[in-house]
Amino acid sequence: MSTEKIETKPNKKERELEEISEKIKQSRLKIEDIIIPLSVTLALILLTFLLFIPMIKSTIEARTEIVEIKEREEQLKELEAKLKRLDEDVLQSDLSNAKEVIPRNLRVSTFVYYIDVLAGEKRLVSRSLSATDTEVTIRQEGKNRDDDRTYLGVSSPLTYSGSLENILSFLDALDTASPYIISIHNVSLRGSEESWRVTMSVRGYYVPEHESKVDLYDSFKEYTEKKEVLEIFREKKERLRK
Amino acid sequence: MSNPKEIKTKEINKKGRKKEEEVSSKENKFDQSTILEEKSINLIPVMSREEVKEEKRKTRMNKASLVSLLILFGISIVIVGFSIISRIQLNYQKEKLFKHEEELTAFNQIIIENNQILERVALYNDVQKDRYPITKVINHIENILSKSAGSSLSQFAFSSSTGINFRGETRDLAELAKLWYLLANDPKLKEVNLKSFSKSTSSVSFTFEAAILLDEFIVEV
Repeated sequence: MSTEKIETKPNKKERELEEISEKIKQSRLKIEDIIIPLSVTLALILLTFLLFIPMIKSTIEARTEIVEIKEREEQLKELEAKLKRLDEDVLQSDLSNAKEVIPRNLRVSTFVYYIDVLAGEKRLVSRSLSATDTEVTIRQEGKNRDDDRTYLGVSSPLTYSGSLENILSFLDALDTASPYIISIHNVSLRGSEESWRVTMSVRGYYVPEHESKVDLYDSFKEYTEKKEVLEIFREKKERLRK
Repeated sequence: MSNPKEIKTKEINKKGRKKEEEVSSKENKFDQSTILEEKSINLIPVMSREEVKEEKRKTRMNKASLVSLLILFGISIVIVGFSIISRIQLNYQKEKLFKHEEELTAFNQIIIENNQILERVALYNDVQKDRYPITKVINHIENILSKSAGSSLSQFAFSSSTGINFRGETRDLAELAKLWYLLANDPKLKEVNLKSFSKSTSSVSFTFEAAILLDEFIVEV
C-alpha cells in the first residue's frame, strides 16, 4: 500500500509541475499582446512626420503671414492719415507752381529765347548761341551708383560780350532771378576795361510726365515738408508771369 | 521510556501534518479553492498566480495604450484645431487688408501729384547743392585786387567746381608780392599759387590759381 502511494505521489507531482510550467509558458508576453501598443506607437510616429510636422510648419507660416499683414495694415493706416492731412486745393496750387518753374517739357527755343532776351536787357551782344537736349546724372554724396539721379535738360553754350558790369549783372540775373531752374558751368571771362567777353554753358531742367504706378507700400513723404523750396517755386512763377 | 505505539502515532501525526502543509501550500497556489467549503466543486479552472500577474500586466498595457491613444487624439485635436483657426484668421486679415487697399486707391491721384512735386523739389535741391553765385567770387577777387594799387583783372575762369584761375596786371613786382600775400591770406581762398608772371617795362602781368572755400560762398536754400 505504502509503495503504491509513493508511486502515485511523484506522478501527480510531476503532472502538477508540468501543468504549472505550461501555465508559466502560456503566461509569457507574446507578440499578439504587444501588437496594439506597437501599432499605436507606429501610427503616432507616422502621424507626427506626415501630418503634424507639416501642419505645424504651415501654421507657423500662417501666423508669420498674419503678423506681416498686420504690419501692412499699420502702414496703410499711416499713409491714410498722411493723405488726409494734404489739402487738395493747396496741392493743386503748389503743383502748378512747380510745373511752371520746372516744366514737363522745356523747349530749346523757349529757353534760348529767355536767355537772349535777358542778355539784350543787359546790353550784351551775342557772339554765339546754341542749345541741345541733354541728360545729366547727379550722384548723391556718400551713396553708390544705384542712387544716381538722372535729369533731362537743355544745355546752351553761350558767348556774350559787353561791359564787365553788364556781364556780371547778366550772370547775377541768371543765378538768382531766373524763372527756370538753371545751372551755369565753365564760366570764363576775358577782356579789358572797354569790352569783356563771357563764355559759359547754361543748363535748364525739365521733368517729363511719365506713367507711374502707385505702390501703397512705398515710403510716402508729404511734399509739405519742403516749404522753403515751394516758396521759391511760387516766387519764380510770379517772375515768369511778369 | 517512550512507548513504541506512541512513537508510531507521533510519526503518523508528523506525516499527517506534512500532508496538511503540502495540501495548504497547494491551496495557496490557487486563488480559489476547488472545493468550496467542502460543499461543492468549482469547475471553472482557476488562474494561477503567474496568470493573474500576466493578466494584471496585460491590463496595465491596455490602459497605457488607451492613454496613449487619448494623448494622440488630444494632440491631433490641438494641432489641427490651431491650424484651422490660424487659417481662418489669415483669410480674415487678408480680406481686411484688401478692402483697405481698395479704399486707398481713391487717393492714387493725390499720391501721384505729391510725388511729382517731390521730384521737382529733389531736382532743385540737387542743382542748388553746393551752388554759389559766380558774381560773388568774381567780385571778391576784384576787391582783393583793388587793395593792391594799379592791379586789374583781364581774365577769369572756373577750372573746376571750386578751382579758379585769373590773369591780370599790376604796377610792379612789389605790388605783385603784396597781391600774392593778400590772396594767400584770404580766409575765403586756399591753395593760392602764382602760376606765372612776366615783367614788362610798365607793368607786371600775373596768372594766379586758387581754390575757393565753398562754405564761404554757398547760398543757403
